[in-house]
Amino acid sequence: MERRLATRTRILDAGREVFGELGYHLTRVDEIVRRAEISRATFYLHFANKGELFAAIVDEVGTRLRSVAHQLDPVSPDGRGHRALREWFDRLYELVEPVAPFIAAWMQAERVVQTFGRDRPLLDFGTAVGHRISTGGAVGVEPRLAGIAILAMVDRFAVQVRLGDLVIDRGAAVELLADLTLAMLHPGIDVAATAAGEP
Amino acid sequence: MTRSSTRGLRGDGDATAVRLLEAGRIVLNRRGYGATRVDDVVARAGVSHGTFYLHFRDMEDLLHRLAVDCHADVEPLVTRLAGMDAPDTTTVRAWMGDFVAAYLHHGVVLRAWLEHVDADPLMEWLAHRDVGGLIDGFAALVPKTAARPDPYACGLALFSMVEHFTAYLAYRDDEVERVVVEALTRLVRGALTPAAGERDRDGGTGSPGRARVPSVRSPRG
Repeated sequence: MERRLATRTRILDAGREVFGELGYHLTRVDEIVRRAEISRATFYLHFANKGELFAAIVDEVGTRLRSVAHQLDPVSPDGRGHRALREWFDRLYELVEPVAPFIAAWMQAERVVQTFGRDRPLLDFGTAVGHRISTGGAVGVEPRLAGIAILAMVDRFAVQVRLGDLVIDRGAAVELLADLTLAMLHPGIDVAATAAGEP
Repeated sequence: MTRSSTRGLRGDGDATAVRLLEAGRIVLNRRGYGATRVDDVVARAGVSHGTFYLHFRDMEDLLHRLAVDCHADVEPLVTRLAGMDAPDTTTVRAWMGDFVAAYLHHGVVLRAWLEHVDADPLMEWLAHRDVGGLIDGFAALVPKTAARPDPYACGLALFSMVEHFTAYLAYRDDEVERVVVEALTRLVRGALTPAAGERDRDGGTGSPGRARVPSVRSPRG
């Protein structure tokens, strides 16, 4: 049973990589099998086809996103909210950066056939984050959409950093994204003062 | 905003080329540049394989023609963004509506520019002008504070949100598009609002950001 799980994990990892590199349509089971160093027969013990594997990876990424979403503390317009965002962006960035190519493949696949439930993971994430945002105080934008927009920002930003468009270490990136996000949610807030006033 | 998918073809009256460009744009937007073949485009356009090659050398050639169309629609957005100074919500909303509309039309080209999928000098030059221009535009508008040492990074972060939130959601229907425009308007307006204590200290000026992407820095060759 344990070995079966380990093999499944290996297929999921290899699949995430290959789909991220080639996109859904160009990916062949052969390439995933080669990357995971397993036989085709073993692959088909776990998944009926590449579509089923893709759906399983979407599920897995969605679960991880949901889990991070729930770790955000209330985003109040003060030093506490600023710190909550900074700590949380660190986790979000760490999660999103390596799976960004897969998310891109997922979004692209959804433009062709909307079968992988693109909406649900995004909306679940947005709802959970939006809840933590509105707990911290009223904002001028629908909190659920703000949650999805934050994910979109981190996703694209991390991809461009990886491509070398900007040289920035993760700490500085997290600091900047948290700082801008607090300003987006609470326009006119003196972010520098809230940061300085933190314990 | 006016569309320009016949740009460059005016005068030659070639309806087939226009049809192929439009089919290519739709298929490429859905499947992505790397996953689209000539067969997909001719099937959509309802013409023969051979006809494609009367008009385009290959898929890359078609992408370049789409990129020129995209540039024609995005360049005015770069200019408008660069001309803004402490824009009000109405100004941001009007710009955002036009950006999202342009993105829905030209998304595949903008993503190709962002992800450097084609190292062609024309593509790099256009990416530099348009993507680089949009990032610089946002960079110049974000209020400067001690916590934001790099305007270009701020510009990239805001542009990332605008581009990718649109890519996530806006392609579905007009209602979603309207909701996306409104959410982005409010978020960007928030980011551009100077802090209460900063308003008098900083007039919103500052050095413009600069691109660090080798391929969007300057045209090669």
